[in-house]
Amino acid sequence: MALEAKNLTIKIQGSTILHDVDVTFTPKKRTAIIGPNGAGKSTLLKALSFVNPKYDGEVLLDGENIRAIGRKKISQRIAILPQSPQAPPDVTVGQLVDFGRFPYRSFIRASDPKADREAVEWAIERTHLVEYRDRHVMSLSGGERQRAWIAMALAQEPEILLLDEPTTYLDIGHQLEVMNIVEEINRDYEMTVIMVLHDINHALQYADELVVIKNHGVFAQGTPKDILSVELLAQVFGVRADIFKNSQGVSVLSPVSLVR
Amino acid sequence: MNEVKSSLARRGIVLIIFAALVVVGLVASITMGSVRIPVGEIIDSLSGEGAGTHQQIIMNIRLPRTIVAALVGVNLSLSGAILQAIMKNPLADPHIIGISSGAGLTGIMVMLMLPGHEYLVTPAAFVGAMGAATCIYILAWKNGIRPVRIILAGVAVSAFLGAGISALMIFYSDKVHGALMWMVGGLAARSWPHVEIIYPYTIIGLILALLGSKHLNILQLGDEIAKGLGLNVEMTRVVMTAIAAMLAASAVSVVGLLGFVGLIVPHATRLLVGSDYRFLLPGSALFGAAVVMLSDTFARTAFAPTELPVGILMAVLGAPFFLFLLRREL
Repeated sequence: MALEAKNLTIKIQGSTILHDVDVTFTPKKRTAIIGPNGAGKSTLLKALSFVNPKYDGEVLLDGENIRAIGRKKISQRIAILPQSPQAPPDVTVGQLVDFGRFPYRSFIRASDPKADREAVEWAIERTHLVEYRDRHVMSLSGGERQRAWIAMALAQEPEILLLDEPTTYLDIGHQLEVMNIVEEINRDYEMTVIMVLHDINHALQYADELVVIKNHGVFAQGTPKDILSVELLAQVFGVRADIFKNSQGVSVLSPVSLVR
Repeated sequence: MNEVKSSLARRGIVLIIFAALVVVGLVASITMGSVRIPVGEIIDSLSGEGAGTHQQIIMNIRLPRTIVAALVGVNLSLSGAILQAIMKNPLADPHIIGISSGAGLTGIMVMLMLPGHEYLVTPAAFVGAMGAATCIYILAWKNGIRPVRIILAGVAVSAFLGAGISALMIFYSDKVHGALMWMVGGLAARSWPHVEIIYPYTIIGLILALLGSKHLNILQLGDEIAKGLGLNVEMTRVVMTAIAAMLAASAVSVVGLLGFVGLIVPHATRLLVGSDYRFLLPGSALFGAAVVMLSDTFARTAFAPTELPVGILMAVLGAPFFLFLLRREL
Protein backbone atom coordinates (compact mmCIF):
# COMPACT_ATOMS: atom_id res chain seq x y z
CA MET A 1 0.00 0.00 0.00
CA ALA A 2 1.99 2.90 -1.23
CA LEU A 3 1.15 6.41 -0.14
CA GLU A 4 2.79 9.21 -2.07
CA ALA A 5 2.60 12.95 -2.53
CA LYS A 6 3.30 14.59 -5.87
CA ASN A 7 3.99 18.32 -6.33
CA LEU A 8 2.30 18.91 -2.99
CA THR A 9 2.04 22.62 -2.14
CA ILE A 10 0.19 23.88 0.90
CA LYS A 11 -0.41 27.48 1.84
CA ILE A 12 -2.04 28.45 5.11
CA GLN A 13 -3.30 32.02 5.32
CA GLY A 14 -1.08 33.10 2.46
CA SER A 15 2.20 31.72 3.76
CA THR A 16 3.74 28.68 2.12
CA ILE A 17 4.09 25.72 4.46
CA LEU A 18 5.08 23.05 1.96
CA HIS A 19 6.30 23.74 -1.57
CA ASP A 20 6.32 21.24 -4.41
CA VAL A 21 6.93 18.22 -2.22
CA ASP A 22 7.45 14.82 -3.82
CA VAL A 23 7.66 11.92 -1.42
CA THR A 24 6.81 8.23 -1.52
CA PHE A 25 6.39 6.24 1.67
CA THR A 26 7.57 2.65 1.48
CA PRO A 27 4.71 0.22 2.11
CA LYS A 28 4.76 -1.98 5.22
CA LYS A 29 7.63 0.02 6.73
CA ARG A 30 7.82 2.45 9.62
CA THR A 31 8.75 5.90 8.41
CA ALA A 32 9.58 8.78 10.74
CA ILE A 33 9.14 12.36 9.59
CA ILE A 34 11.58 14.66 11.37
CA GLY A 35 12.49 18.30 11.01
CA PRO A 36 12.54 21.60 12.88
CA ASN A 37 9.45 23.19 14.42
CA GLY A 38 7.18 24.80 11.86
CA ALA A 39 8.71 22.86 8.97
CA GLY A 40 5.30 21.51 7.96
CA LYS A 41 5.45 17.96 9.35
CA SER A 42 1.92 17.97 10.82
CA THR A 43 0.66 19.80 7.75
CA LEU A 44 2.03 17.00 5.59
CA LEU A 45 0.25 14.33 7.67
CA LYS A 46 -3.05 16.22 7.43
CA ALA A 47 -2.80 16.38 3.64
CA LEU A 48 -1.80 12.71 3.38
CA SER A 49 -4.90 11.72 5.39
CA PHE A 50 -7.25 14.18 3.64
CA VAL A 51 -7.99 15.83 6.99
CA ASN A 52 -6.88 19.01 5.23
CA PRO A 53 -8.00 18.81 1.60
CA LYS A 54 -6.81 22.34 0.78
CA TYR A 55 -3.61 21.57 -1.08
CA ASP A 56 -2.30 21.81 -4.62
CA GLY A 57 -0.78 18.75 -6.22
CA GLU A 58 -1.77 15.19 -5.59
CA VAL A 59 -1.83 12.61 -2.84
CA LEU A 60 -1.91 9.10 -4.27
CA LEU A 61 -2.89 5.89 -2.50
CA ASP A 62 -1.75 2.93 -4.59
CA GLY A 63 -1.62 5.28 -7.53
CA GLU A 64 -5.19 6.51 -7.05
CA ASN A 65 -5.81 10.20 -6.25
CA ILE A 66 -7.34 10.28 -2.76
CA ARG A 67 -9.71 13.06 -3.83
CA ALA A 68 -11.47 10.44 -5.94
CA ILE A 69 -11.75 7.88 -3.14
CA GLY A 70 -14.22 9.53 -0.76
CA ARG A 71 -13.80 10.47 2.87
CA LYS A 72 -15.11 7.34 4.54
CA LYS A 73 -13.30 5.00 2.16
CA ILE A 74 -10.09 6.89 2.90
CA SER A 75 -10.72 6.50 6.62
CA GLN A 76 -11.12 2.75 6.18
CA ARG A 77 -7.61 2.65 4.71
CA ILE A 78 -5.76 5.50 6.43
CA ALA A 79 -6.04 6.29 10.14
CA ILE A 80 -4.58 9.45 11.64
CA LEU A 81 -3.99 10.36 15.25
CA PRO A 82 -3.46 14.12 15.67
CA GLN A 83 -1.70 15.78 18.60
CA SER A 84 -3.46 16.17 21.97
CA PRO A 85 -6.94 14.94 21.03
CA GLN A 86 -9.81 15.62 23.45
CA ALA A 87 -12.87 13.55 24.32
CA PRO A 88 -15.96 14.44 26.38
CA PRO A 89 -15.29 13.60 30.05
CA ASP A 90 -17.65 10.63 30.26
CA VAL A 91 -16.47 8.69 27.20
CA THR A 92 -15.05 5.29 28.16
CA VAL A 93 -12.14 3.55 26.44
CA GLY A 94 -14.56 1.02 24.94
CA GLN A 95 -16.78 3.77 23.50
CA LEU A 96 -13.80 5.70 22.17
CA VAL A 97 -12.40 2.67 20.39
CA ASP A 98 -15.85 1.96 18.96
CA PHE A 99 -15.84 5.46 17.40
CA GLY A 100 -13.02 4.07 15.23
CA ARG A 101 -15.70 2.03 13.44
CA PHE A 102 -17.45 5.20 12.24
CA PRO A 103 -15.96 4.99 8.71
CA TYR A 104 -17.83 1.69 8.28
CA ARG A 105 -21.17 3.22 9.29
CA SER A 106 -23.40 5.47 7.25
CA PHE A 107 -26.37 7.75 7.83
CA ILE A 108 -28.84 5.02 6.95
CA ARG A 109 -27.02 1.71 6.69
CA ALA A 110 -25.96 0.02 9.93
CA SER A 111 -22.55 -1.58 10.02
CA ASP A 112 -21.74 -5.24 10.56
CA PRO A 113 -21.89 -5.59 14.37
CA LYS A 114 -19.74 -8.71 14.45
CA ALA A 115 -16.95 -7.10 12.43
CA ASP A 116 -17.20 -4.00 14.62
CA ARG A 117 -16.96 -6.00 17.84
CA GLU A 118 -14.01 -8.03 16.61
CA ALA A 119 -12.11 -4.96 15.41
CA VAL A 120 -12.71 -3.15 18.72
CA GLU A 121 -11.70 -6.25 20.71
CA TRP A 122 -8.54 -6.65 18.67
CA ALA A 123 -7.58 -2.97 18.98
CA ILE A 124 -8.10 -3.02 22.75
CA GLU A 125 -6.01 -6.15 23.16
CA ARG A 126 -3.18 -4.93 20.96
CA THR A 127 -2.89 -1.76 23.02
CA HIS A 128 -3.02 -3.67 26.35
CA LEU A 129 -6.15 -1.87 27.49
CA VAL A 130 -8.41 -4.84 28.30
CA GLU A 131 -8.73 -3.91 31.97
CA TYR A 132 -9.24 -0.20 31.14
CA ARG A 133 -12.19 -0.75 28.82
CA ASP A 134 -14.77 0.81 31.16
CA ARG A 135 -12.61 3.66 32.45
CA HIS A 136 -13.19 7.22 31.31
CA VAL A 137 -10.58 8.19 28.73
CA MET A 138 -9.92 11.63 30.17
CA SER A 139 -9.30 10.15 33.65
CA LEU A 140 -6.43 7.96 32.44
CA SER A 141 -2.74 8.78 32.71
CA GLY A 142 -1.07 10.27 29.64
CA GLY A 143 0.37 6.97 28.43
CA GLU A 144 -2.86 5.02 28.89
CA ARG A 145 -4.83 7.76 27.20
CA GLN A 146 -2.51 7.80 24.20
CA ARG A 147 -2.86 4.01 23.90
CA ALA A 148 -6.66 4.45 23.91
CA TRP A 149 -6.45 6.90 21.01
CA ILE A 150 -4.12 4.54 19.14
CA ALA A 151 -6.67 1.78 19.74
CA MET A 152 -9.36 3.98 18.17
CA ALA A 153 -7.15 4.43 15.10
CA LEU A 154 -6.49 0.68 14.97
CA ALA A 155 -10.22 -0.08 15.12
CA GLN A 156 -10.44 1.61 11.71
CA GLU A 157 -8.41 -1.43 10.49
CA PRO A 158 -6.31 0.83 8.31
CA GLU A 159 -3.59 -0.18 5.91
CA ILE A 160 -1.68 2.95 6.85
CA LEU A 161 -1.38 4.48 10.32
CA LEU A 162 -0.35 8.14 10.64
CA LEU A 163 0.77 9.35 14.06
CA ASP A 164 1.55 12.97 14.94
CA GLU A 165 4.09 13.06 17.74
CA PRO A 166 2.59 10.08 19.60
CA THR A 167 5.03 10.30 22.51
CA THR A 168 4.94 14.03 23.29
CA TYR A 169 4.25 14.77 26.97
CA LEU A 170 4.85 11.13 27.99
CA ASP A 171 7.51 9.97 30.41
CA ILE A 172 10.30 7.79 29.07
CA GLY A 173 8.67 4.49 30.10
CA HIS A 174 5.33 5.34 28.50
CA GLN A 175 7.14 6.60 25.42
CA LEU A 176 8.77 3.22 24.90
CA GLU A 177 5.50 1.43 25.61
CA VAL A 178 3.72 3.40 22.88
CA MET A 179 6.59 2.91 20.42
CA ASN A 180 6.70 -0.82 21.14
CA ILE A 181 2.97 -1.14 20.41
CA VAL A 182 3.47 0.67 17.11
CA GLU A 183 6.41 -1.58 16.26
CA GLU A 184 4.42 -4.76 17.05
CA ILE A 185 1.44 -3.67 14.96
CA ASN A 186 3.69 -2.87 12.04
CA ARG A 187 5.53 -6.19 12.36
CA ASP A 188 2.53 -8.46 12.96
CA TYR A 189 0.06 -6.93 10.48
CA GLU A 190 2.39 -5.28 7.97
CA MET A 191 0.62 -2.00 8.63
CA THR A 192 2.46 0.94 7.11
CA VAL A 193 3.33 3.45 9.83
CA ILE A 194 4.16 7.07 9.13
CA MET A 195 4.89 9.09 12.24
CA VAL A 196 6.04 12.60 13.00
CA LEU A 197 8.59 12.26 15.78
CA HIS A 198 10.07 15.03 17.84
CA ASP A 199 12.72 12.86 19.42
CA ILE A 200 15.32 11.95 16.82
CA ASN A 201 16.60 9.11 18.99
CA HIS A 202 13.15 7.53 18.80
CA ALA A 203 13.22 7.91 15.05
CA LEU A 204 16.63 6.23 14.92
CA GLN A 205 15.49 3.38 17.12
CA TYR A 206 12.01 2.72 15.73
CA ALA A 207 11.94 3.84 12.12
CA ASP A 208 13.05 1.90 9.05
CA GLU A 209 13.20 5.11 7.06
CA LEU A 210 13.54 8.81 7.77
CA VAL A 211 11.97 11.67 5.85
CA VAL A 212 13.67 14.93 6.79
CA ILE A 213 11.63 18.08 6.17
CA LYS A 214 13.24 21.49 5.95
CA ASN A 215 12.56 24.77 4.12
CA HIS A 216 9.08 23.68 2.96
CA GLY A 217 10.39 20.53 1.30
CA VAL A 218 12.00 17.13 1.70
CA PHE A 219 15.63 17.66 2.60
CA ALA A 220 16.62 13.98 2.73
CA GLN A 221 15.03 10.55 2.70
CA GLY A 222 16.49 7.14 3.43
CA THR A 223 17.37 4.67 6.14
CA PRO A 224 18.88 6.13 9.30
CA LYS A 225 22.13 4.35 8.47
CA ASP A 226 22.33 5.96 5.03
CA ILE A 227 21.38 9.54 5.78
CA LEU A 228 22.15 10.27 9.42
CA SER A 229 25.25 12.37 9.73
CA VAL A 230 26.71 15.16 11.81
CA GLU A 231 26.40 17.42 8.75
CA LEU A 232 22.70 16.66 8.30
CA LEU A 233 21.94 17.54 11.91
CA ALA A 234 23.90 20.77 11.60
CA GLN A 235 22.17 21.76 8.37
CA VAL A 236 18.63 20.82 9.42
CA PHE A 237 18.53 21.64 13.12
CA GLY A 238 21.52 23.96 13.48
CA VAL A 239 22.91 21.67 16.14
CA ARG A 240 26.29 20.07 16.55
CA ALA A 241 25.74 16.56 17.88
CA ASP A 242 27.75 13.47 18.74
CA ILE A 243 26.54 10.25 17.17
CA PHE A 244 27.44 6.95 18.77
CA LYS A 245 26.12 3.40 19.08
CA ASN A 246 24.19 2.23 22.11
CA SER A 247 24.44 -1.28 23.62
CA GLN A 248 21.92 -2.56 21.01
CA GLY A 249 23.96 -1.26 18.11
CA VAL A 250 21.48 1.52 17.39
CA SER A 251 22.82 4.96 16.53
CA VAL A 252 21.93 7.60 19.10
CA LEU A 253 22.74 11.24 19.14
CA SER A 254 23.53 13.67 21.85
CA PRO A 255 23.34 17.37 21.02
CA VAL A 256 26.42 19.26 22.10
CA SER A 257 26.00 22.85 21.00
CA LEU A 258 24.32 25.19 18.57
CA VAL A 259 26.05 25.81 15.27
CA ARG A 260 26.75 29.52 15.04
CA MET B 1 -18.27 -4.64 31.94
CA ASN B 2 -20.29 -4.07 35.10
CA GLU B 3 -19.58 -0.36 34.98
CA VAL B 4 -20.86 -0.15 31.42
CA LYS B 5 -23.97 -2.11 32.29
CA SER B 6 -24.64 0.03 35.34
CA SER B 7 -24.19 3.24 33.35
CA LEU B 8 -26.57 1.89 30.70
CA ALA B 9 -29.03 1.02 33.47
CA ARG B 10 -28.61 4.49 34.98
CA ARG B 11 -29.34 6.17 31.66
CA GLY B 12 -32.38 3.97 31.25
CA ILE B 13 -33.65 4.90 34.69
CA VAL B 14 -33.10 8.62 34.06
CA LEU B 15 -35.02 8.40 30.77
CA ILE B 16 -37.87 6.61 32.56
CA ILE B 17 -37.91 9.31 35.25
CA PHE B 18 -38.02 11.98 32.54
CA ALA B 19 -40.93 10.17 30.89
CA ALA B 20 -42.69 10.05 34.27
CA LEU B 21 -42.08 13.80 34.65
CA VAL B 22 -43.75 14.33 31.29
CA VAL B 23 -46.83 12.52 32.60
CA VAL B 24 -46.74 14.57 35.82
CA GLY B 25 -46.42 17.77 33.78
CA LEU B 26 -49.30 16.74 31.57
CA VAL B 27 -51.59 15.97 34.49
CA ALA B 28 -50.58 19.06 36.49
CA SER B 29 -50.99 21.35 33.52
CA ILE B 30 -54.47 20.02 32.74
CA THR B 31 -55.80 19.86 36.30
CA MET B 32 -54.38 23.08 37.75
CA GLY B 33 -55.63 26.57 37.04
CA SER B 34 -58.40 28.96 37.90
CA VAL B 35 -60.75 25.99 37.74
CA ARG B 36 -59.40 22.87 39.42
CA ILE B 37 -60.27 19.71 37.57
CA PRO B 38 -60.13 16.28 39.22
CA VAL B 39 -57.63 13.90 37.60
CA GLY B 40 -60.33 11.35 36.85
CA GLU B 41 -62.12 13.72 34.52
CA ILE B 42 -59.10 13.93 32.24
CA ILE B 43 -59.53 10.32 31.24
CA ASP B 44 -63.27 10.78 30.80
CA SER B 45 -62.71 13.79 28.58
CA LEU B 46 -60.06 12.15 26.47
CA SER B 47 -62.19 9.07 25.96
CA GLY B 48 -65.11 11.28 24.95
CA GLU B 49 -67.25 10.43 27.94
CA GLY B 50 -66.84 13.74 29.73
CA ALA B 51 -69.40 16.48 29.67
CA GLY B 52 -70.01 20.01 30.80
CA THR B 53 -67.68 22.92 31.38
CA HIS B 54 -64.77 20.79 32.61
CA GLN B 55 -64.86 18.87 29.37
CA GLN B 56 -64.86 22.18 27.48
CA ILE B 57 -61.98 23.56 29.52
CA ILE B 58 -59.90 20.45 29.02
CA MET B 59 -60.50 19.99 25.32
CA ASN B 60 -60.46 23.63 24.23
CA ILE B 61 -58.07 25.31 26.62
CA ARG B 62 -55.90 23.19 28.87
CA LEU B 63 -55.07 20.22 26.63
CA PRO B 64 -54.02 22.17 23.51
CA ARG B 65 -52.02 24.63 25.61
CA THR B 66 -50.30 21.73 27.37
CA ILE B 67 -49.46 20.07 24.09
CA VAL B 68 -48.06 23.31 22.69
CA ALA B 69 -45.93 23.67 25.85
CA ALA B 70 -44.60 20.12 25.49
CA LEU B 71 -43.79 20.49 21.78
CA VAL B 72 -42.12 23.87 22.30
CA GLY B 73 -40.05 22.32 25.08
CA VAL B 74 -39.00 19.45 22.81
CA ASN B 75 -38.07 21.76 19.93
CA LEU B 76 -36.07 24.28 21.93
CA SER B 77 -34.24 21.57 23.90
CA LEU B 78 -33.30 19.60 20.80
CA SER B 79 -32.21 22.80 19.08
CA GLY B 80 -29.97 23.71 22.03
CA ALA B 81 -28.52 20.19 22.33
CA ILE B 82 -27.65 20.14 18.63
CA LEU B 83 -26.13 23.63 18.70
CA GLN B 84 -24.00 22.73 21.72
CA ALA B 85 -22.48 19.81 19.79
CA ILE B 86 -21.86 21.57 16.50
CA MET B 87 -20.43 24.66 18.15
CA LYS B 88 -18.58 22.68 20.81
CA ASN B 89 -19.74 25.32 23.22
CA PRO B 90 -21.79 24.75 26.37
CA LEU B 91 -23.30 28.21 26.10
CA ALA B 92 -24.82 27.69 22.67
CA ASP B 93 -28.59 28.03 22.65
CA PRO B 94 -30.89 29.26 19.88
CA HIS B 95 -31.79 32.30 21.99
CA ILE B 96 -28.25 33.28 22.92
CA ILE B 97 -26.62 32.93 19.50
CA GLY B 98 -29.28 34.90 17.64
CA ILE B 99 -31.27 32.29 15.73
CA SER B 100 -34.35 33.09 17.81
CA SER B 101 -33.84 36.83 17.24
CA GLY B 102 -33.87 36.21 13.51
CA ALA B 103 -37.12 34.31 13.83
CA GLY B 104 -38.42 37.01 16.18
CA LEU B 105 -37.66 39.94 13.90
CA THR B 106 -39.34 38.49 10.83
CA GLY B 107 -42.21 37.14 12.94
CA ILE B 108 -42.87 40.54 14.53
CA MET B 109 -42.56 42.24 11.14
CA VAL B 110 -45.41 40.12 9.85
CA MET B 111 -47.45 40.64 13.02
CA LEU B 112 -47.11 44.43 13.00
CA MET B 113 -46.89 45.27 9.32
CA LEU B 114 -49.26 42.69 7.86
CA PRO B 115 -52.10 42.43 10.36
CA GLY B 116 -54.56 39.73 9.40
CA HIS B 117 -51.88 37.55 7.86
CA GLU B 118 -50.95 35.59 11.00
CA TYR B 119 -50.58 32.39 8.97
CA LEU B 120 -47.39 33.95 7.54
CA VAL B 121 -45.75 34.22 10.95
CA THR B 122 -44.28 30.68 10.99
CA PRO B 123 -42.79 30.67 7.50
CA ALA B 124 -41.47 34.19 8.08
CA ALA B 125 -39.94 33.14 11.40
CA PHE B 126 -38.30 30.17 9.72
CA VAL B 127 -36.84 32.39 7.00
CA GLY B 128 -35.59 34.76 9.71
CA ALA B 129 -34.00 31.96 11.71
CA MET B 130 -32.26 30.52 8.67
CA GLY B 131 -31.21 34.01 7.61
CA ALA B 132 -29.70 34.69 11.03
CA ALA B 133 -27.97 31.29 11.04
CA THR B 134 -26.56 31.95 7.55
CA CYS B 135 -25.37 35.41 8.60
CA ILE B 136 -23.69 33.96 11.68
CA TYR B 137 -21.97 31.34 9.54
CA ILE B 138 -20.75 33.81 6.95
CA LEU B 139 -19.46 36.19 9.62
CA ALA B 140 -17.77 33.36 11.52
CA TRP B 141 -16.25 31.70 8.44
CA LYS B 142 -12.55 32.21 8.12
CA ASN B 143 -10.64 29.13 7.05
CA GLY B 144 -13.36 26.96 8.47
CA ILE B 145 -15.67 27.44 11.39
CA ARG B 146 -14.42 28.08 14.89
CA PRO B 147 -16.90 27.68 17.74
CA VAL B 148 -15.86 30.85 19.57
CA ARG B 149 -16.30 32.92 16.41
CA ILE B 150 -19.80 31.49 15.98
CA ILE B 151 -20.78 32.56 19.49
CA LEU B 152 -19.35 36.04 19.06
CA ALA B 153 -20.89 36.48 15.62
CA GLY B 154 -24.17 35.26 17.13
CA VAL B 155 -24.03 37.81 19.91
CA ALA B 156 -23.41 40.59 17.38
CA VAL B 157 -26.14 39.42 15.02
CA SER B 158 -28.49 39.05 17.97
CA ALA B 159 -27.82 42.64 19.11
CA PHE B 160 -28.35 43.92 15.57
CA LEU B 161 -31.64 42.07 15.15
CA GLY B 162 -32.73 43.14 18.63
CA ALA B 163 -32.28 46.75 17.53
CA GLY B 164 -34.52 46.00 14.54
CA ILE B 165 -37.20 44.56 16.81
CA SER B 166 -37.04 47.58 19.11
CA ALA B 167 -37.28 49.98 16.16
CA LEU B 168 -40.35 48.17 14.82
CA MET B 169 -41.99 48.35 18.21
CA ILE B 170 -41.44 52.10 18.37
CA PHE B 171 -42.80 52.70 14.85
CA TYR B 172 -45.85 50.55 15.57
CA SER B 173 -46.29 51.52 19.21
CA ASP B 174 -50.10 51.41 18.90
CA LYS B 175 -50.05 47.66 18.18
CA VAL B 176 -47.24 46.83 20.49
CA HIS B 177 -49.02 44.87 23.23
CA GLY B 178 -49.27 41.59 21.32
CA ALA B 179 -45.71 41.94 20.14
CA LEU B 180 -44.55 42.65 23.69
CA MET B 181 -46.04 39.41 24.98
CA TRP B 182 -44.37 37.66 22.08
CA MET B 183 -40.97 39.16 22.95
CA VAL B 184 -41.10 37.59 26.39
CA GLY B 185 -42.40 34.23 25.28
CA GLY B 186 -45.64 32.91 26.64
CA LEU B 187 -48.32 30.33 26.13
CA ALA B 188 -51.41 32.40 26.93
CA ALA B 189 -54.34 31.56 24.62
CA ARG B 190 -52.37 28.94 22.71
CA SER B 191 -54.72 26.38 21.25
CA TRP B 192 -55.23 23.76 18.53
CA PRO B 193 -54.18 25.94 15.57
CA HIS B 194 -50.81 26.40 17.28
CA VAL B 195 -50.52 22.65 17.86
CA GLU B 196 -51.07 22.18 14.16
CA ILE B 197 -48.38 24.70 13.31
CA ILE B 198 -45.67 23.15 15.46
CA TYR B 199 -46.19 19.38 15.55
CA PRO B 200 -44.92 18.51 12.05
CA TYR B 201 -41.65 20.31 12.81
CA THR B 202 -41.30 18.47 16.10
CA ILE B 203 -41.73 15.09 14.43
CA ILE B 204 -39.42 15.82 11.49
CA GLY B 205 -36.84 17.54 13.69
CA LEU B 206 -36.80 14.70 16.22
CA ILE B 207 -36.32 12.04 13.54
CA LEU B 208 -33.55 13.97 11.76
CA ALA B 209 -31.79 14.78 15.04
CA LEU B 210 -31.84 11.15 16.15
CA LEU B 211 -30.51 10.04 12.75
CA GLY B 212 -27.68 12.53 13.21
CA SER B 213 -26.80 11.50 16.76
CA LYS B 214 -23.87 9.29 15.66
CA HIS B 215 -22.46 12.21 13.72
CA LEU B 216 -22.86 14.58 16.67
CA ASN B 217 -20.99 12.06 18.85
CA ILE B 218 -18.07 12.06 16.41
CA LEU B 219 -18.14 15.86 16.17
CA GLN B 220 -17.60 16.07 19.94
CA LEU B 221 -14.14 14.51 19.49
CA GLY B 222 -12.94 17.65 17.72
CA ASP B 223 -12.66 18.54 14.06
CA GLU B 224 -9.38 16.80 13.35
CA ILE B 225 -10.39 13.46 14.80
CA ALA B 226 -13.81 13.74 13.16
CA LYS B 227 -12.24 14.43 9.76
CA GLY B 228 -9.79 11.58 10.29
CA LEU B 229 -12.77 9.28 10.86
CA GLY B 230 -14.21 10.34 7.52
CA LEU B 231 -16.90 12.74 8.76
CA ASN B 232 -17.66 15.65 6.45
CA VAL B 233 -17.39 18.15 9.28
CA GLU B 234 -18.45 21.32 7.47
CA MET B 235 -21.42 19.63 5.80
CA THR B 236 -22.53 18.07 9.09
CA ARG B 237 -22.42 21.51 10.75
CA VAL B 238 -24.48 23.14 8.00
CA VAL B 239 -27.13 20.40 7.94
CA MET B 240 -27.43 20.18 11.71
CA THR B 241 -27.61 23.99 12.01
CA ALA B 242 -30.50 23.96 9.54
CA ILE B 243 -32.29 21.35 11.67
CA ALA B 244 -31.65 23.38 14.84
CA ALA B 245 -32.88 26.55 13.12
CA MET B 246 -36.04 24.80 11.92
CA LEU B 247 -36.79 23.52 15.43
CA ALA B 248 -36.15 26.92 17.02
CA ALA B 249 -38.09 28.86 14.39
CA SER B 250 -41.19 26.69 14.71
CA ALA B 251 -41.11 27.13 18.50
CA VAL B 252 -40.57 30.90 18.26
CA SER B 253 -43.39 31.34 15.78
CA VAL B 254 -45.80 29.77 18.26
CA VAL B 255 -44.71 31.11 21.65
CA GLY B 256 -42.38 33.99 20.85
CA LEU B 257 -38.88 34.49 22.17
CA LEU B 258 -38.87 31.93 24.95
CA GLY B 259 -35.29 31.84 26.15
CA PHE B 260 -33.02 29.56 28.15
CA VAL B 261 -34.96 26.31 27.61
CA GLY B 262 -32.41 25.29 24.99
CA LEU B 263 -29.61 26.09 27.40
CA ILE B 264 -30.82 24.62 30.69
CA VAL B 265 -32.46 21.42 29.50
CA PRO B 266 -29.66 19.87 27.41
CA HIS B 267 -27.18 20.78 30.13
CA ALA B 268 -29.09 19.20 32.97
CA THR B 269 -29.71 16.17 30.77
CA ARG B 270 -26.02 15.91 29.94
CA LEU B 271 -25.17 15.87 33.64
CA LEU B 272 -27.60 13.00 34.19
CA VAL B 273 -27.29 10.79 31.09
CA GLY B 274 -23.85 11.78 29.79
CA SER B 275 -22.70 13.14 26.46
CA ASP B 276 -23.72 10.26 24.19
CA TYR B 277 -26.19 11.92 21.81
CA ARG B 278 -28.09 8.69 21.25
CA PHE B 279 -29.32 9.15 24.84
CA LEU B 280 -28.85 12.89 25.24
CA LEU B 281 -31.29 13.81 22.45
CA PRO B 282 -34.25 11.69 23.59
CA GLY B 283 -33.48 12.69 27.20
CA SER B 284 -33.47 16.40 26.30
CA ALA B 285 -36.71 16.03 24.34
CA LEU B 286 -38.52 14.41 27.28
CA PHE B 287 -37.07 16.70 29.92
CA GLY B 288 -37.71 19.78 27.77
CA ALA B 289 -41.37 18.85 27.39
CA ALA B 290 -41.70 18.32 31.16
CA VAL B 291 -39.87 21.56 32.06
CA VAL B 292 -41.98 23.82 29.84
CA MET B 293 -45.28 22.17 30.87
CA LEU B 294 -44.46 22.43 34.58
CA SER B 295 -43.02 25.96 34.28
CA ASP B 296 -46.08 27.18 32.43
CA THR B 297 -48.38 25.59 35.00
CA PHE B 298 -46.46 27.30 37.78
CA ALA B 299 -46.28 30.65 35.94
CA ARG B 300 -50.01 30.82 35.32
CA THR B 301 -51.12 29.61 38.77
CA ALA B 302 -48.57 31.03 41.24
CA PHE B 303 -49.72 34.65 40.97
CA ALA B 304 -53.35 34.03 40.10
CA PRO B 305 -55.36 35.80 38.90
CA THR B 306 -52.40 37.40 37.13
CA GLU B 307 -50.93 35.04 34.58
CA LEU B 308 -47.16 35.36 34.22
CA PRO B 309 -45.69 34.61 30.77
CA VAL B 310 -43.59 31.45 31.08
CA GLY B 311 -40.70 33.31 29.43
CA ILE B 312 -40.29 35.45 32.54
CA LEU B 313 -40.00 32.37 34.73
CA MET B 314 -37.52 30.74 32.33
CA ALA B 315 -35.38 33.89 32.32
CA VAL B 316 -35.44 34.10 36.12
CA LEU B 317 -34.27 30.48 36.32
CA GLY B 318 -32.08 30.57 33.23
CA ALA B 319 -29.98 33.68 33.66
CA PRO B 320 -28.38 32.53 36.94
CA PHE B 321 -27.86 29.10 35.39
CA PHE B 322 -26.11 30.73 32.45
CA LEU B 323 -23.82 32.61 34.84
CA PHE B 324 -23.13 29.40 36.75
CA LEU B 325 -22.06 27.71 33.51
CA LEU B 326 -20.00 30.72 32.52
CA ARG B 327 -18.03 30.54 35.75
CA ARG B 328 -17.62 26.79 35.63
CA GLU B 329 -16.79 26.26 31.96
CA LEU B 330 -14.88 29.30 30.79
